[in-house]
Amino acid sequence: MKRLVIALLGLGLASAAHAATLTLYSAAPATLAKSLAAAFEKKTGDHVEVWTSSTGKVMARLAAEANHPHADVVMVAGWSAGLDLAKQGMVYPYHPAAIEKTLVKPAQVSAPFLPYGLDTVSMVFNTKALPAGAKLPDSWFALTQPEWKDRITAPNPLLSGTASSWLVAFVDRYGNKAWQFLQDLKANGTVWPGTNHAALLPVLSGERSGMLECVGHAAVAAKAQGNSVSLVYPKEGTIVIPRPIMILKSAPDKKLAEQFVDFAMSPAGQNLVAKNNLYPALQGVPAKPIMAKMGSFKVTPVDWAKLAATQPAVLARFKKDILDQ
Amino acid sequence: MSRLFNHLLVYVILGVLVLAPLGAIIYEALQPSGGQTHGIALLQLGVDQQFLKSLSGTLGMAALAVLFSLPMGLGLALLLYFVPPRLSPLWEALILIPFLIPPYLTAEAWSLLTGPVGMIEQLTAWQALGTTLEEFLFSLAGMGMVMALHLTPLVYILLRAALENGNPRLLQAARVHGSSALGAFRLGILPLLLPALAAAGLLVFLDTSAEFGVPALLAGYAGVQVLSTSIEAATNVWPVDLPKASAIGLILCALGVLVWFLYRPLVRNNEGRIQRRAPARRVWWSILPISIFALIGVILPLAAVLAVSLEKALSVGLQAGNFTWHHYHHVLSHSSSGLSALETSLRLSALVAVFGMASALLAANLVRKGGRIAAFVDLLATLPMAIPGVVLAVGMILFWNAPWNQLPVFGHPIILAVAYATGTFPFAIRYARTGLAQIPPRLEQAGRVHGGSPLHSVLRIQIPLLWPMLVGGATVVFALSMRELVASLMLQPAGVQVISTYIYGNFRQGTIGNGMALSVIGIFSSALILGLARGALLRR
Repeated sequence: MKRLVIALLGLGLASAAHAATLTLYSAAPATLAKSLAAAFEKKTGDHVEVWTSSTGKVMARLAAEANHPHADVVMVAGWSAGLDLAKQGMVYPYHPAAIEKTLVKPAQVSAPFLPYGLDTVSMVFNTKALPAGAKLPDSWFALTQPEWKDRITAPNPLLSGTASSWLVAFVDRYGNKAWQFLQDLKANGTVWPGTNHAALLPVLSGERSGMLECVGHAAVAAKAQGNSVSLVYPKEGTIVIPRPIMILKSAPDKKLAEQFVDFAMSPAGQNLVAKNNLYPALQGVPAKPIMAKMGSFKVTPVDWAKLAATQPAVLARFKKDILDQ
Repeated sequence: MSRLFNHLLVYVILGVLVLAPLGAIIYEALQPSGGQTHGIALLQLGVDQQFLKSLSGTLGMAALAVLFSLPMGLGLALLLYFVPPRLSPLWEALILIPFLIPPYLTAEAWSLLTGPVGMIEQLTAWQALGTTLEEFLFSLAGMGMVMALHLTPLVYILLRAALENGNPRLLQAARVHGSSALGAFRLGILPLLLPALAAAGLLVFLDTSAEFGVPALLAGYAGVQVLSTSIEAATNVWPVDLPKASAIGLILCALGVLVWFLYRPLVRNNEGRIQRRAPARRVWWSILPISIFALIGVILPLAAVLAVSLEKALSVGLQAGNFTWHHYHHVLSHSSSGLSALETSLRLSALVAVFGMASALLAANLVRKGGRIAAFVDLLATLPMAIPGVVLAVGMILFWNAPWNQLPVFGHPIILAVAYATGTFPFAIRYARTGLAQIPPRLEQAGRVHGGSPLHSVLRIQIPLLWPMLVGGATVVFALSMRELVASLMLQPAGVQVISTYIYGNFRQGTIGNGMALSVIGIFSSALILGLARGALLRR
């Protein structure tokens, strides 16, 4: 019996021996992180451990593990979340000029890290589940109309990196009008059930008609599967959100981490980014044809440094006033 | 020496599994809440509006689950006892199946069945039905109902056992002396049923208040909050507030302990006293209510799971051309994380089953000796019944991720095994104790008299005689570990997924088809395992 117990304990600890060489924490799409890791393993022979969740949970896990850091490389969905980590002093600066000058225009944002891809947010509707007689709206603000009562969902910005970037930019642009709009949405029965996918699911299954500020890759993936969804870029304009890939200061093997970032930014890595329904950051790598061409919809410019500074306060107010938490 | 070793080992095991996370929670709950510089998080909850809302959500959901499951379980138990249909073992199996389906899966399945373009409206002419059902599902009552569907089998088992323990002659005597059928029921059956009903109600309350998966999937749409999801959010969503998470966890634990202490005396003295009674009258109409329960608890949800696992696009629905094997191909392909999640689950659960049963046997031997220490060990071993998975996970994060703790457990898959072992310990020890109680003491005395060491008597006498019980307990531990969701979600390290987190993750990431495909595989494998467990138990 004793021997059995000891042998079993040994078995458990022995598997600790072949620990990961590189640990990647990533926000959605999980498939991108996993395929990048697999391709990198195949190319270099180095092993990559992946943990995927939403941006809010990745940030929480990094904070929780501050005493015993596990992650080496972090990919999140919101540029402002990346700037926030940098402000906390957790990011090891890595943004070689050689790579930066090969990036597409919207990805050329100065920060101590690189953007691995870009995404937008839009309104998404299930054209089979619209309220009787309703037409697709052309403005964010139309969703407070009575015809959309109890028909709209939205991603929770505490969880979603793109939703938090959109919210902070929206509040920055419209001020009190933005907060009034959110209150009106809430009064009109809008729910914030969780991540982008959690908010999109009731739209796909027809329980709700549409979704405010849905992240592009999730909507495109649903569309590519053959779902009856339609993406609407409102006339006020949307924002283009670069997605940061960062090396943490605590990473023991910076060379390996840099290799991984270089791979993600290489044409091979960027093709995987495109395959997972994001706009590639590298010039010359095309996005999927199913995605709206950059430039075919109105985009409003964003001052990321300013937004990153206001983000904590905006999220705290949203949590209290809109989510009642 | 060996006895001392046994004691020490049991203390270490229970200390690590139960005391360490609980102690960490209590310590953390006494720290100031996030954003405050002083005070005690536990007391700061008193003025926290969100906490009070979540508390009423939890109490409401649990009370509604009790309200729904007791009549269903009672009705089914009475039917199968008094007027069973033909082939009643088969019908009984159908009643028990909902307990094998993880409740988060039932919740997801029903949310796909209902709604304006849900499967019910796709396939039937009742246009308003899907929408009405959806409104019910996305409410506190709907969450209670999903839990009730899952737990009705438990109520059924407890009430059926109480009925079998009763004396059928009492009923006859009452009828002979002129009671009406109802009066005879009140005099002869009801007094026996009441404690069992109370016990079943408490168990349903306990399980529902600890549930995470169902509220995590439904509460966001229902506009309600419950304690378990608040704890998870305070731990896992930035900005993190661990003292608050611990304080809420402590309240939820206190609720569990209270219910558990009310429950324990109710089931203490119901050892089987199976009596002979005249064969019950078989009637055909009793299959009607059973079929209705099976339809909403088993057949419809499983059909939805199966349909979605074969569908290309969710919003296109059940139409020719929208079917594919792709999700199964994907889940079972070599590079898929679904397959490796299943493998990790199988491996961890097997490890926990063996290790858990072995430690439970050691602890049960210690408890059998009696005395104050034994009572304390027994208490610690059964305490995890009252600790919800989400609270256990917070405690384990606090303990294993503490700055002073240098053991590489947090961030290693073994932490999942530790969490499963804690959660399943009460079940393991119950099997071990029941088994030990069946061994006549003189066998071990004979072994000791003839010079065998205590270890020798465990290996040579207890284990062979206990084998069916140990196997039965191990399979229960295995099955419970396979389906555990919330602790796995909160503790899983990078590069590791288990079957439940893979399924939940796929629900959450919009790839429902893949999640449902692995669910189908998971349900079949757990049914297979339970079949094997039964086989092992019956060979006794």
